[in-house]
Amino acid sequence: MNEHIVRSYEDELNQLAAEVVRMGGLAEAQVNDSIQAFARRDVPLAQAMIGRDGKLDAMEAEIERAAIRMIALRQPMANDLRRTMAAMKIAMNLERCGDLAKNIGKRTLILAEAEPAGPVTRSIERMGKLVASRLKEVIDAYTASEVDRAVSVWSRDTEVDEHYESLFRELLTYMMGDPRTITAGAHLLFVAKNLERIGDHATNIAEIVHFEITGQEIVSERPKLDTLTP
Amino acid sequence: MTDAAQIQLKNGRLKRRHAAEARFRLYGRVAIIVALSFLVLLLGRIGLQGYSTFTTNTVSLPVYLDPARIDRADLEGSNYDYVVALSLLKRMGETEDEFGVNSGDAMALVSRDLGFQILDKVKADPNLIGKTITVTGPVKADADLYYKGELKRSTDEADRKLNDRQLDWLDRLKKSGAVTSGFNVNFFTHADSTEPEQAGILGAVIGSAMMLLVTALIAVPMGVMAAVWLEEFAPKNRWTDIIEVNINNLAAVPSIVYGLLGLAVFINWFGAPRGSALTGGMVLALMALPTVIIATRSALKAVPPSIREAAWGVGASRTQTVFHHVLPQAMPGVMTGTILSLAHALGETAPLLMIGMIAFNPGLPQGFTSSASVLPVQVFIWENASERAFHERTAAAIIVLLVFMIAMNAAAVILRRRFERRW
Amino acid sequence: MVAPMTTQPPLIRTAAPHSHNAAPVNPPKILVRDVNVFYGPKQALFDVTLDIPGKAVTAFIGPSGCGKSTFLRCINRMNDTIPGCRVDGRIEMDGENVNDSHIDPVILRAKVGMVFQKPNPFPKSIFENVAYGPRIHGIASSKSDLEGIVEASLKKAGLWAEVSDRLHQPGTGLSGGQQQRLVIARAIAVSPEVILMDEPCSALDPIATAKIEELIDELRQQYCIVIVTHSMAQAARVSQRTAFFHMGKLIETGSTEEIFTNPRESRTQDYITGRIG
Repeated sequence: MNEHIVRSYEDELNQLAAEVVRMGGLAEAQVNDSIQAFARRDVPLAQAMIGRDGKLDAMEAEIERAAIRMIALRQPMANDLRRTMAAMKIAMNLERCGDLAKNIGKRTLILAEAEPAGPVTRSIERMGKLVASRLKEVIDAYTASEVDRAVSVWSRDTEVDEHYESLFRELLTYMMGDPRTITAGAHLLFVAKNLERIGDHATNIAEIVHFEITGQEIVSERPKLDTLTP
Repeated sequence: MTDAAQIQLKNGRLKRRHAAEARFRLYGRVAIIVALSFLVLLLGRIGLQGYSTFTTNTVSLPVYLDPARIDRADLEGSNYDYVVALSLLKRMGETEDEFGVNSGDAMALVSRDLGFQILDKVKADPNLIGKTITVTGPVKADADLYYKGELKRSTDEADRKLNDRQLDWLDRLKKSGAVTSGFNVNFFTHADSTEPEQAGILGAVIGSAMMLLVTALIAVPMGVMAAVWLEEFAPKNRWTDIIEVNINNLAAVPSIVYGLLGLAVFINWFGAPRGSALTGGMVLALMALPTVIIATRSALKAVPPSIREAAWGVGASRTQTVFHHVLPQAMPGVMTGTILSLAHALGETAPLLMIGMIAFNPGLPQGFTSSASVLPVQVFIWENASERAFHERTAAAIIVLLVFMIAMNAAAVILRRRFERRW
Repeated sequence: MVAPMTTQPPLIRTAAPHSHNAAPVNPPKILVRDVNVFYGPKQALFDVTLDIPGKAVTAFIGPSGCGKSTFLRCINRMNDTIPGCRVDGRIEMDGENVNDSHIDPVILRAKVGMVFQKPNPFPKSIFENVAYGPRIHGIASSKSDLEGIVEASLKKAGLWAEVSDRLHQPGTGLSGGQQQRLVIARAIAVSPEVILMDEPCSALDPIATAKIEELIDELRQQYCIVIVTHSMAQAARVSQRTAFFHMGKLIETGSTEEIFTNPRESRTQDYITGRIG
């Protein structure tokens, strides 16, 4: 693609994208760390990860500021406008992912005192790894501007849901069987839920990437497992 | 090169540039001074030569209308100049001698105008015969010259027009108050005459005006319309280019060629009256036409195309655009060009000589087809006249001509300013 | 687990934009088919084909020298006034091809008014400026009729309040923005159906520009307006449909929203975002 005639405009756009990529990397690391800390009940790792969440928030604020500035001063059009909006929206999604990872970390700290890692933890870990890989995939798709990779992430949204559904049933069974496991079970449920939501955010990001590159919104329904309707 | 040397060089160059500029300014000033001094010289010379025309000496005489010399039955045939001369002699205390030398001398002092005045009066009231009336009229040209100091006693009597006795009489008349000096109204109210003191430029002025009218009526509409067609309507091809080149060349053709054209075509072929205001006007119209066309085209070109586009955009046709918008906008330029070319035509002599405007016209022109004289030709005629008194009149006529031209140019400037303000 | 989705049948593309600026589905007022324009041997426009809707604003954008002004001037046959200019093709308005030799350009130009880049009121009074058109086309039947037309046109152009007390002062004494509105009033006075504007705001300051844009917004409810502009922001603000010209060719047309958020052609995108000149 041709370069902007005004070089500084081109540089600003590239810088915005680079910021988002960096934030993506950091969010990825946070999610990975949260899963690892949870799986091994690794308290220092969890604490370190929780401490880094502030940085993610700061990055999101910075990206938002830069995007607003871009719109006010450069009046971007067409694909430039989509890129700017995409950067802002992806940053929001990544920040939420970071918050969810922090929540997982907090619950890890609680679980570390009470419950050692069991089979459920390993299931959750498997789900977490899947979610983390999807997040990585979608961030790579953004970095490389590859629509197909984003679309494939988008289409496989159901994978995460299936994990979550089975974990949900498993945990319910445990909790119904033994009331002493309810506290731990509740926390584990929340961890699973957080991971599922990180997965949703990854799908969001996939939609945003698709819009940025093609200019068309994905209108069709996300392939979702609908277990709420009987 | 060291810094100091570079600075030296720069200063040197700078000095040379300033010196060159100062020199150039000096050349400009010198050129203007030379031009202005020539102008001053010329105008001064003419002014000095002609200013005396504007004053003239008038004599007031009681004239006894001797019934013996005036025949009631034939008023026209009586010799009134003789009657006047006798009265003058009487005034001087002399009488007629047997050879008529005295009356001859007396007649040479007083204009024939007095005689004509008496004729008119007697015709109106024949009962005046036998009475004494006072008549006032100009002195004759040579006497006038004496009073103005042109004719001097110091010259040898044999070389003068007036002898000593006549000069004495003139002195006495002046001393007695019979001769007064005043503004030369006759110069502006009389037409040409063989007698210098009676000669005036009115005939030439009216002739010039009539001729200019003809020129204007022919050249201006034709010229403006031709220019409008060439500029706004004509297709831009080789033919219009050729026309344009030819028009430009025509503006540079020597004016006498137009005179030849007028002679050959207008007079010999069309049978136009020779030396008339009509023919003169036609010839000068041909001469002025290229200039009018060029000036009008220039003015039209200067109208910005945005005006035309605006008019077309509203749905005006080409003709409407030109006549409602472009031409009014170009009016100042057109008028200036027209007036200037007419002023130029006013001063043309050579072509008018060719078409026979050199005839002597004692009266005012009767119409456009009768023989007329014009100011520049009048100057030419008077310059060639033998009488010395015509000298000063030539210069006076030139002054009048110049005044006309300045007036026309001033009119052009004023009109232009007035119309330009609107835009 | 899940069938690999390499093709995207579930993806439905978004179709119509839903903004207040959306072009109503208006019947086209001007149908342009295969128009080619030559200046002598040099071709300036190549096979231009598009529809221009009525009662809406269509903007022509493109870099300098791309032919948008030339094309605009074809619509009211102003190119006839340029010697050596030849226009081929059909430009249909109300079923008739304006390029036909039997169409009188004088009458056409009453139907299709024009506003130029530099405001060019006649060097006459304000009243005369507006009254000239109706007068030469014989629209007014009496003096009071004419005065009524002048007043109505000036009101529609948003100028009446400012000049009602000095109608007989020269039009050239107004400010640039007022002059341009006077020119618009002049064009409106002959009851056109189409108004062509060739960069009408490029000589005006931002406030005057905004006033003209507001005026265009009001006028589009009654007239078909075609505006050539080299300010993309202006085209984006003011028009419902946009056509992009480049080097004499029509590259893309579409609704303004589409062109400025998601153009189909990469050349359009490059121009809009400032990547090519």
